[in-house]
Amino acid sequence: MVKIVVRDAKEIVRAYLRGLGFGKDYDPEILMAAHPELAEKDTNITARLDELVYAAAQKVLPAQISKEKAVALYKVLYTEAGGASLWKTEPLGGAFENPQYREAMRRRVFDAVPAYCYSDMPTQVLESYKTPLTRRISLWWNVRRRRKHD
Amino acid sequence: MIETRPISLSEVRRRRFYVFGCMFVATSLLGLKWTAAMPTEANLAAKIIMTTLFLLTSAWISLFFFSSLFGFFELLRRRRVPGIIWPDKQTPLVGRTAVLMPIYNENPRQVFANLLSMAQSLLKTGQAAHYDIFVLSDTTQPKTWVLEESLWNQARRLMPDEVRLYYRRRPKNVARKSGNIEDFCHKWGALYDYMIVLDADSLLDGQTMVRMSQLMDANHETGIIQAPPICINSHSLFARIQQFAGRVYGPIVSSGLAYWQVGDSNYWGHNAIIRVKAFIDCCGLPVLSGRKPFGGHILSHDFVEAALIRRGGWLAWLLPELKGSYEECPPTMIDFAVRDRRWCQGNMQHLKVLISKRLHPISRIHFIIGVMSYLSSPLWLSFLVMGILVALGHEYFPPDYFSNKQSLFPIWPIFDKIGTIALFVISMFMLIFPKILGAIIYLKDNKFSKIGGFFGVWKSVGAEILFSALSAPIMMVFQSKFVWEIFTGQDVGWKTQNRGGDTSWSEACRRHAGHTLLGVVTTIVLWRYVQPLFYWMLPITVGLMLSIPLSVFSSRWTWGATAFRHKWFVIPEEIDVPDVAAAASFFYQKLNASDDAGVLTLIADHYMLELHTAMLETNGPTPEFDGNVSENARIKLDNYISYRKEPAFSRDEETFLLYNPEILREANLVLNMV
Repeated sequence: MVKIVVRDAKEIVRAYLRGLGFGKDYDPEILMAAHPELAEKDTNITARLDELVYAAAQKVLPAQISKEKAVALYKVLYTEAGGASLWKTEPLGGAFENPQYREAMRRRVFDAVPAYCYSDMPTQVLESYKTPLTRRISLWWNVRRRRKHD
Repeated sequence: MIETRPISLSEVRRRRFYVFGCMFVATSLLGLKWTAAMPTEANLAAKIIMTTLFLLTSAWISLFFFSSLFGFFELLRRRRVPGIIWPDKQTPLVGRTAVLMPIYNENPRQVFANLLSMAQSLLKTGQAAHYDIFVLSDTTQPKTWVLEESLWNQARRLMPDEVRLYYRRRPKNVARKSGNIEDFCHKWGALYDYMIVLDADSLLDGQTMVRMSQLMDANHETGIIQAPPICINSHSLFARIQQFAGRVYGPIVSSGLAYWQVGDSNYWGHNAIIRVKAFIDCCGLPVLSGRKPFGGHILSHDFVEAALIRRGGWLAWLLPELKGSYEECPPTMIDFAVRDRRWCQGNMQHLKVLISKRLHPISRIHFIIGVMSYLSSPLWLSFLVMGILVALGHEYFPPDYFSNKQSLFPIWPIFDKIGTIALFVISMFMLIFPKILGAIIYLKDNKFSKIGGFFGVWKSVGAEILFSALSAPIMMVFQSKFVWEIFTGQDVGWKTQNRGGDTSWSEACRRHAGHTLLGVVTTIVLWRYVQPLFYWMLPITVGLMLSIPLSVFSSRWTWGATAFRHKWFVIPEEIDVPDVAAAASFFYQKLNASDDAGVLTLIADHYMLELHTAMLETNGPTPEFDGNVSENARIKLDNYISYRKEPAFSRDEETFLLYNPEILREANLVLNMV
């Protein structure tokens, strides 16, 4: 298992934010000030950040997406939209209402595949003609294979 | 304006009567000549065996010859395949078409470049909105999987707005390509009227795709339309020779097949459009009973699917009129043989399907042709071996001139040398003449300038015939070995086709040592014991003895380039490069394929990691992994993070990590903090 040697919470938050397109030098103070629990000792920081991202994702992504996919997709879209420079960490938590942001994110939503629309594909029957010759060949072949197998 | 040329059932039957009647008459005449020319001292058993082998190989050659001959006349008269309605080219499309690209550990850069170029070509037709493209990945190599995702992401941004590009990967490649297509039909088939099935190296012009969809719209009883593909983009000498042969002789072969198959044609597995409803209703392939190689999943699914669609009452067409359909040739003789091994097993498996109830007679003929494509080699080999044995017998057991039978005269052994030469000349004529007819079609259309000029064409045809003659015995031995392996129960599996690279001397020696040895031993035996046969067998023994240098030199790209410079084996598509092929090259350069480090790419690149995670759900449920696999994967990743020790992940370990993005995220986080 990968061992995470924690220096401080700020470092973790900064590293996490890079997944949203923030630069190495970005100071996460604003986000941490808005969410003081991130600095608390017992907080699972990445899990909490995932919650914040998920909350933001729910506002812009279609409803039926699972949490794991929504978090990942939000990060992709935010990076593509250049969210780090445009809106900083504002969409993470709080009531951030910005039509341009909403539009930019929704426009970029993509699906790797369309929604399923199932059909049944019946398995076909390939029934062989049974003539004395084919029966004999089949018997010979099976006996031969069995002997070889044994 | 709608064009159509109706055809009655009696005309269809007449066409088949002509082709198979000619084949029957020619085989009978050759057989009669053979029985007269056969050495009289051979014993009865040898005579029966040799005559049977001779008849089978002659029938095979005759069918090819007469089919090509009728194809030639069809092309000469510029006649369209009758019985199908050709709508006007401007007809707006009604149905929706899915373009399917099933892939398995292929070069994803080429795959996506080709798809982008096809989408651009579709855009020019103004009917692109009727198409969606699906990349159906069965890839098992983790690094290729990550690269496919990266390239899909790049390609979807380059796609025209009208065309959607989808990507899904199956965790297990159950039933290979047929299972892959079946999975598509099960999940999304209902969304589309038609599907165009491609291969990893397929390229279809937008106009051709639209034409195929229009034909489907206009012909409601049609299940499959096959557009005969032309080989392009060849570089090695071997591939360029194959490409030339396909381009010059291919049209008459296709026209010949279309002439007698009409609406009962075959499906070649790619570059074809299929009615989804027909496919869903008729093509759920069963798993054949018994063990591999005859039992199990059907390997060469295409022939079986065509037969089942035909059994379901739908029509299947091969339409040589459809241009703009391309593929690539195997680059080397060894790659060609590797592909043949796979196809051989698939076709031999058809022996079991061939005797199934309710199949259309022409579907059975397709199966027989497929089987004979490979079975003809051991038949030919057996025929040669029998000939040598009879000749050796003649040397060691001299004829009994004065047998116990009372006779006034001694019994002279008779060997009809002139008759044998005549048979040889006729056989050669039947094999070579269709090639000349293929070149004549270009002469008629005054297109020689597009295939290397008048002299360029004839020298290329001559060289191709020589190369075919030299390589034919090598392929004969290869294929005979394959058939033997299959009948003795050896399974081939499913390997990715190599699409580039020269053959090294060591590789050639390994693969062709047996051929060379066989050639040398046969030559020595013939020279020492049966000198008259020595010269007859030279075309075969020389090919075998030269197999190693032939394989190496023909695989060279430099030799291919030199041939092109000197106007050898030129095809029209090399003079006027089709737009779709030029665009594919452009997109190939444009796509960035540097993210090929698999797991290491993901833990170093947040964006790719999140993209991979977002796409993971579409793969279906996570497969189960062995406890050791997960443990080792974690340890190796830990060592990489802590000590920068380059991890040598096994395929399973890397795949396990790709299915567990939470581990990768942790690693990514730690890397970002360092």
